[in-house]
Amino acid sequence: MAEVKLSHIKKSYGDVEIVKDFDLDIRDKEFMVFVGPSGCGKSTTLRMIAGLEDITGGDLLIGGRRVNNVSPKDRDIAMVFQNYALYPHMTVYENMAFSLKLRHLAKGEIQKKVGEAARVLQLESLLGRKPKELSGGQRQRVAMGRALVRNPSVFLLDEPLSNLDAKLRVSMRTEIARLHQRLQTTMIYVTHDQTEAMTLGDRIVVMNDGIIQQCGTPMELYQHPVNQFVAGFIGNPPMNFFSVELMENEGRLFASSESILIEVPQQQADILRAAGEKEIVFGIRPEAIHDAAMLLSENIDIAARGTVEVVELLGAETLLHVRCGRELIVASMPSGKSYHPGDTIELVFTTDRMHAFRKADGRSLLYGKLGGAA
Amino acid sequence: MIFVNAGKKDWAFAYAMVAPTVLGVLILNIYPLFKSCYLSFTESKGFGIYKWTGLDNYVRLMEDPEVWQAVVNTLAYTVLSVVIGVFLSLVVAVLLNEKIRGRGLYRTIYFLPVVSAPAAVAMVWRWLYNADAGLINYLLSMFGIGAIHWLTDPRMAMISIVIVGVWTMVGYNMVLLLAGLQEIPKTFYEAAEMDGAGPVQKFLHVTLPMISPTLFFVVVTSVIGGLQVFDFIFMMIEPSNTAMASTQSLVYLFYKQSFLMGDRSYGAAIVMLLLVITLIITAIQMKLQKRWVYYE
Ligand SMILES: Nc1ncnc2c1ncn2[C@@H]1O[C@H](COP(=O)(O)OP(=O)(O)OP(=O)(O)O)[C@@H](O)[C@H]1O
Ligand SMILES: [Mg+2]
Repeated sequence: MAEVKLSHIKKSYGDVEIVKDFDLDIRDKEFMVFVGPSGCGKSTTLRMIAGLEDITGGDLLIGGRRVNNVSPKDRDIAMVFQNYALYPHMTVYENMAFSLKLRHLAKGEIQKKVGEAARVLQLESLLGRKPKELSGGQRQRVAMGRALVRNPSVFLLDEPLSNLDAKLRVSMRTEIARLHQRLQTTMIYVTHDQTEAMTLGDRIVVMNDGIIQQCGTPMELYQHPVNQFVAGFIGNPPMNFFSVELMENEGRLFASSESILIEVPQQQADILRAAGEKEIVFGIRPEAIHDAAMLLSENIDIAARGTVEVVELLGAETLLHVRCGRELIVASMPSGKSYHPGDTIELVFTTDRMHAFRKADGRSLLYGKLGGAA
Repeated sequence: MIFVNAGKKDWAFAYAMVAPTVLGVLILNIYPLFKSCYLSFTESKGFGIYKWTGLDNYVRLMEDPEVWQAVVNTLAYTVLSVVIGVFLSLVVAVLLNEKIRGRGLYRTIYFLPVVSAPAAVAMVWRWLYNADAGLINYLLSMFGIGAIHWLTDPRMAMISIVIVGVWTMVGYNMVLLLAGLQEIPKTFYEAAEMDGAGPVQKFLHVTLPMISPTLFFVVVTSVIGGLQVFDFIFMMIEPSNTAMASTQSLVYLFYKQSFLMGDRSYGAAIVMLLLVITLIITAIQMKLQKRWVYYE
């Protein structure tokens, strides 16, 4: 059990700074997810925590101890690799027992620990097999087991599910969540899949270009993204963005583009006025867009009119790709009504759930300024 | 996959493609083998005339102390050169697989003996080994060690030849092993490091098992090469040398019988003996490999 503190951690290869001023406190027993696009430095950061990569600058503390120069085996951590890295010449049992043997544990004790891990991970019947005789999911579990037997205070997982097919990935995701609840150990989990991040993380760190964009609970990131990058990265399907102009009309603030016209709600309007930007990026999630024909209320403002281009049936919901002039809007509709490409449709936005970003740097103009629920 | 539904034309094409190699093996390997086998049951009458004599040559072989001494010499050379040579190759390969400065240069240096002509190599070593004017003895004399008769002392000559043999084989084996080492994914070492393995344990539990198929190949080919040792003996030990008896190998004896004594039939019998020994040793290695070679 330990908290992990990264204090102004940096990593450079030569002149290139890969990880920049990474500052993060991971709490004891927390499930922390690093998420971000490929090449943003997630693995590098994790490998620095593991001790597989030198830290160029800053301090790394595990359980209050500075471990920058402590070797991996003495950091009280275990790591699950993306390709599992199971020793091909050892059986499942030997793979799991290896670290314990190196620690000179008694044979009985090793048997006990491996047996226990095997039971938790349902590997008991596979202990005598070699890795090549296992399915992808089983290998993944052995890789987990190998980390598990050591009972480390921090678990590091680098895209542990990315080699599995979609269905298995979902079930292993649940297993990992269950495992975390059972073990009550600090876990740091790297993924580029935002769904994994959202479903697993107590908190999520969104990274881009070696910089932490935002750190928060899944809901915080979803509802209050700090910038356009986080807004676009978290949430599936991703948020719609439009370049809009802000216009005053009789004390009301409107955001408009060629094909879209929205009245900005009072609270947001005040904030945007104070920000003083003329042109902004307007953001709205597909879930906050509705079909005017399906709403009962009389008093509705049509935000955009367009033609359905693509209909994606997902079961519980239907995704519509609606062409409105130059914009392509993705909207999520409850299933029930059937749509066809070519249908004309009027869209209504739940403007309370709008986002606004500064054009110049993508920073959210509303973040931290909306009082109460937003 | 192309051949799953292959018509006659495809098969003809396939045969045409492998034909050169097959023909080469047949003419250069298989035919001489059967020819030698046949010769070993005959007596040479000169002028290319051979008389069938059954097992006579083999009976003579059994009773010939020179043959048995050559068997002992050959096995001694093989065991020494393989054990020392493969061990050194592995050590050098592992060291040169590390990120060290000038490793490209070192790799080239270690490989040079492989591309040098054996005759030239033998000549240089003869000079190095020269008891009176050789560099080695000169260097030893600086430490007050008296002249060693590297090539003429019957107890030293074998060791001297082993040294040259090892020196020439390390480069070749090193290149093979280096290729094998570079095939080992880095994550295995990282996993081992997380598991708490030090350098020695990483070598024993990751490097060695994962390089074992290459190592096995290196051992088998080195053993076969060792059993066929000839050129260094031929070029460094003169027939009059007192150390000849304790160094001459089976192939050298074959050469002596066939070409110096002109008894090609007896020479052929010696070759057949070598063939049997090679087959037995290789079969044993194939059997033993299950215990230590791991295939992915
Ligand atoms: N040894 C190295 N030398 C130079 N640059 C490196 C080295 N290792 C990684 N990088 C660079 O560091 C950056 C971050 O790599 P990293 O592996 O941390 O990305 P990642 O976020 O894990 O991406 P992915 O999702 O693709 O795994 C990449 O741009 C990569 O090219
Ligand atoms: Mg990565």
